[in-house]
Amino acid sequence: METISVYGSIAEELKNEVRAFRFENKLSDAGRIVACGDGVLTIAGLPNVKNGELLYLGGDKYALVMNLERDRVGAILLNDTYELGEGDIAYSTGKIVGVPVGDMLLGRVVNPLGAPLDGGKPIVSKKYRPVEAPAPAIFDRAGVNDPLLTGIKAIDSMIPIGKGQRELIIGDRQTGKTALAVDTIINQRGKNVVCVYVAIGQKIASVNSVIHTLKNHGALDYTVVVCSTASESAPLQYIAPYTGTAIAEEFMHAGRDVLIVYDDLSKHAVAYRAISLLLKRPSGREAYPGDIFYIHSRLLERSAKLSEAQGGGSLTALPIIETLAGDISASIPTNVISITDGQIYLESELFRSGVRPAVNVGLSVSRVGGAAQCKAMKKVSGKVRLDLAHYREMAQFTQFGAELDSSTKAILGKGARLTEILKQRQASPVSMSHTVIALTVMMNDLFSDIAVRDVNAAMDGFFDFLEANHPDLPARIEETQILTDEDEGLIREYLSAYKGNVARISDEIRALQEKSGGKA
Amino acid sequence: MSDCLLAGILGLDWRDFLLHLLNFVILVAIVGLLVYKPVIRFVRARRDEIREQEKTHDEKMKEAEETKQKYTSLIGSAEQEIAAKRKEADEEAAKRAEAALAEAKERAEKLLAEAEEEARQEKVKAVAAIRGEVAEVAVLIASGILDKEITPEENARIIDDCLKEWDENNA
Amino acid sequence: MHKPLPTKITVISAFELDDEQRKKVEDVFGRKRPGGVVADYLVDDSLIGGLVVFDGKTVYDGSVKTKLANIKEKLSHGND
Repeated sequence: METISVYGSIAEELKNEVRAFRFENKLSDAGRIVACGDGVLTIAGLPNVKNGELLYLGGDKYALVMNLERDRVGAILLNDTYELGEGDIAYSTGKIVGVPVGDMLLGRVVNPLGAPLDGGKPIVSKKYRPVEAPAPAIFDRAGVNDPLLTGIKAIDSMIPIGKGQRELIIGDRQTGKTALAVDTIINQRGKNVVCVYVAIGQKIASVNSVIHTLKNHGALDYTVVVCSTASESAPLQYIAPYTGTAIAEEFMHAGRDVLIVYDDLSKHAVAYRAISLLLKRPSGREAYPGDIFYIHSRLLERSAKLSEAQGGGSLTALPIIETLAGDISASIPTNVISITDGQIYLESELFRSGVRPAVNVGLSVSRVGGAAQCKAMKKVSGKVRLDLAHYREMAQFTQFGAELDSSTKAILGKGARLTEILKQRQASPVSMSHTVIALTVMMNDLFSDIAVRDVNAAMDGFFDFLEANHPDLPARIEETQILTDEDEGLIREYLSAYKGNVARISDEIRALQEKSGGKA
Repeated sequence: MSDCLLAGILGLDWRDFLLHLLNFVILVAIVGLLVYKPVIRFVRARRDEIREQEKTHDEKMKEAEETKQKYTSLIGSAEQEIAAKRKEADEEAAKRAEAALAEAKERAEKLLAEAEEEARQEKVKAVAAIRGEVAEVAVLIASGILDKEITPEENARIIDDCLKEWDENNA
Repeated sequence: MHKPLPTKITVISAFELDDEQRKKVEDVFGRKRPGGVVADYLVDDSLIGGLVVFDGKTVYDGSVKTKLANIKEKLSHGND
């Protein structure tokens, strides 16, 4: 019964609308394609078209206006198509390229135009955002003072990242840049941070592997993946980061904290270079066009911490740049370094010698620094950098096989153990209290009696001991975010209890072995 | 006669015999003095040594006995600890099972509510979809009809209308 | 002083236009264009009726096909 009435009411509505409809003739701005090839269209006509406007070419083909001349318009095709020819008509739409935005994107993998790539339902949203948007104004911003924990000890202690900051991850190929970004995304589980991962020009297999890692660690539920792989057209790769930012901005303006990873901007620059060269724009250093700085600066400026009046949301950006042979003075790296609020420098030398994550602490910096650290972390990590710097200085002397005095030996021992404790396995994020306790132990040199290569195992054992016997200590540090002197004393106490346990057990074992060995 | 007997038997006379006897006594005395003391000392020392060894042996036996007892008690206390920990773990497991049950029930209720909401939304979507399809069918029919039915005269009228409108709007 | 060049226009109609209709089209479009118009006439029966005129800058779409498409669009997403 209900179904019939539903149909009936629909039919009534439609009939009324048809009666009220005014048939109009449609007038649209249009132009004629004069030349097309390599994904670039030259169009005559389109007198009122604006830069960055979307053009409709019939079917589902669209193009993006990039060049405006007196009687010609240059546009780049957004979908690969071989069905266009000279003489075809291109219609102006009056709109800038936009993407659907909203909560329905969480857990999905989409292309830069919002079409799904994960075989799921099409993305249907009431709200569309243009991919290009102005960055938040100066008075709409607040200072960065909330930490964004990556779960990686080396970074949270010495190169802390705050919500609303842009921190560049830069290094040669295969140094763990993507792994670092993905680990940060995994660490946001349960922290109410939305994550967006933008893959630009990556191998499909790599993106697949990232998606699987995220899924296996339960991180895909709060992540949106925007994907334009190496086989897609240059215009789509060019738009991808702006699409990701538009999606992230929707969450940011709703008051949420968002993390966006651009992997990587070097390939983005290459895609833009291809487009510009095809549009016959003049090329500059390394054949990049003149506005190669602007495409990244306007992208990264949209990451910010908003003021309370604007909802208090934030967008933290982790752009990734790949260098060639460690050359950070090349065109793109220097550009992006000057835009971001610091960089994490990954070295292949360190990676190969087993220091993973291969962070070069000396060259890495976070310009937000201590303002984005809780009190506990600030207290223990203040001297870590300095000690590591001393260690690196002294380490050169060991190569001479020279005789060393006791203080130098102490610095070397402490530095070696610090370096060892800062190593970490992939996809194993570590909580803030864990880092604080580990660094307290190391900075007070409480492991000086343990061999360097056993330091990590001993630390793991200590944490097991703490979890079994004194779980209130890490929980307290985690909640209050402060490391009191009493807590520090407790750590020492528990550590000697732990060491005592270990010593006692190993002595008894040895004694038993001797007795049984002697009698036998 | 006796002298002759002795002399005859031993080939000695009683003076030589006394001298030999004296000799023998002196010898024994000297040797006794020289040898007896050391020998006695040696024997005594040996006896003391043996006594010492016996005492050490007793002590070692006692020590071994003590060690054995100590380890037995250690094992005993370890077993007690294990038993206590096992009981603790059992209690923990029971508590956790209860919590899991409560959580599962809560989740089931939430799922039910979500399913209801989803069903309602599906209905709304279905209505919109029907509307769209009805519209499409209607237009399809209309275009089919118009395709067959438009005569050149009607077409001419449409064209004139268009031209009039464009003329008025300064084409 | 040269006479300005005529504008090229493309006229697409569902049925072939007769001379009278062609003159009407050229008059209307020639009025505001110095130099007049030179028309290229094409027939596309998928338009069902009416005509489409393109002068290199603007498309004047008076076809029945487009009108039907418009109403379908309006009805399908009327509530959005």
